[in-house]
Amino acid sequence: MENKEEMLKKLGLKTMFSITDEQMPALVEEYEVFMAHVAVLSKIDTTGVEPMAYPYEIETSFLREDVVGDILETEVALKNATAIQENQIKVPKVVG
Amino acid sequence: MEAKTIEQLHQLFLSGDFDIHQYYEQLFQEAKIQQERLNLFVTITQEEAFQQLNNSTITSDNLMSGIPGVLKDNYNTCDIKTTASSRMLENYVPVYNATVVEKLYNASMCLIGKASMDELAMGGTNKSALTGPVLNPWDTTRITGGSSGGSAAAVASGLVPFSLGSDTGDSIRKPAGYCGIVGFKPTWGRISRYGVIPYASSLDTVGTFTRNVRDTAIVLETLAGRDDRDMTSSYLEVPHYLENLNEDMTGVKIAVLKSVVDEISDLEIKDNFEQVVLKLKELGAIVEEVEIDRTLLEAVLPTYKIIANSEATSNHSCLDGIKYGDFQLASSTDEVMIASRTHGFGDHIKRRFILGNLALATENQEKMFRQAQRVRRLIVEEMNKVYQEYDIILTPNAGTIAPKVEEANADEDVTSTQYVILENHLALGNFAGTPSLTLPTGLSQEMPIAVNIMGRIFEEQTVLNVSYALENALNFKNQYKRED
Repeated sequence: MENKEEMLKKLGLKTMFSITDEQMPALVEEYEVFMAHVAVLSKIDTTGVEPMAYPYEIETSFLREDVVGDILETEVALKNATAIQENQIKVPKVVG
Repeated sequence: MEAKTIEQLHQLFLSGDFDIHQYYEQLFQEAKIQQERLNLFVTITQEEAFQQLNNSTITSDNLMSGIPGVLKDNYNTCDIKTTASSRMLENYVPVYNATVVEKLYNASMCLIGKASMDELAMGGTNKSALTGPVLNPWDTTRITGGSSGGSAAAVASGLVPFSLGSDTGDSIRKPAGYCGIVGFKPTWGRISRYGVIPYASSLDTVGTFTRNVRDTAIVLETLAGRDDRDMTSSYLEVPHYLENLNEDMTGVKIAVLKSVVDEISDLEIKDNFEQVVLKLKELGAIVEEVEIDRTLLEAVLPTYKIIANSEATSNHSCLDGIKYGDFQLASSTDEVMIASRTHGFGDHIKRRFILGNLALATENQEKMFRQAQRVRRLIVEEMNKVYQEYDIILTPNAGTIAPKVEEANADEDVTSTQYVILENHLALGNFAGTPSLTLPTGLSQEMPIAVNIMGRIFEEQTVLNVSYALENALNFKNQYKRED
């Protein structure tokens, strides 16, 4: 069975982070507190209780009229790019 | 220069013999002094402010015209750097304004600066900001609290009459209490969140810092209302909060959460809370102690941690160095994301995201994330039982004064009931989405202390009225500190 550090290191990579040996003790400590939180909640009987995703029932509309809204001009959209070529964001080659 | 409220400034601006440009020159001189003293800003926006001032017309029917304000650095501001105090967004310059920024600009407010915060609003000390800790205007050896620490310091140092923060667990209310000012988190859905860098969407709320309740009502009225770009914003009409302010407390029913109050060990804070209860009774309110299920009260912090971390992990998956944020070169797309995220986020953010991911993993989701959401429903139902009989829930804001910078978070016993219940109960307002206002009510060791006043959803007016009556009966409105 993998140990806690290995499990957390793998979970770190799944979350797209490299965790160093120096960072591990604090992560393990926070993991223990987190699992204590999970244990507290597991003791509460929630049979038949629906998960609450939002604080109250919201009256809203998910669809809007199909009309033109905010438009981002190309020039504006490229403002934050560090490199631009032919009106496109240029990124370093990272595949193959 | 003496600090002024929104209403005082408005009168001066209209008076005709007040040099508003000179006032702004002095304001920016003071901003630099306070920046050196408190480290509250990420960006000072002097040029933009003067441009806005030159373009604004001061009119008698617009209380916000020409008023200086500060925004937490998680509000997207077009052409002004918005970092959320994270290395990941250190160079991010938005190409659009958040809806609330648009509303403030339309009301002719002048932006003084973007305020420091805990990285991505995740924290309660403001020590995790990329630009370093923000110091408390009352005592610079102490924290402001977080995550909206810079916004709190801007108002508590008297620089500006109002600022915006954001509140996911208590990120406006805790710093407001530590800094001796009014902090208000309205109902979830009352104000649009479009263009606010999120933390946990089912809990996040836009809110305000001011030095008195009347100014809170003014800013709330400016910001509230439906926004089609935020589908969680409410269609409910926005009342005239300022016009409707009413000090009459006769018959208002207030519940004191006994289990929270019982955790206070500091005698001065306990005594102050008792004095507040007496004052409210003198004002005509009916104040009674109420017990709520202790197991559920002890579950507030665990529920908050699991839900907030999980939602944050999901919300910030776009910060990968490719779609958004600091880019680090590596040999594959995955490696770019890993290198960028590893470089871009602070250690505590990484830990929270990893634990959030743990709770969302297929094999854990039911027993961790969904269980937390179920317990949240039980907690909210328990609160709503109280609201069937009472208009307001009253609690102390915190169990201590603002901690020393080096002590905050260092030796805290996170398993003690004082920490679990007293220091974390304000998240109740985020679970239920209720309006919740922190009001300064006294001093202990020459530092501010406060209470929290929480009402039913969309009953902002009741919360403001109770706070207004109490504020006028006490002597702690409009306070600020400029020097040690």
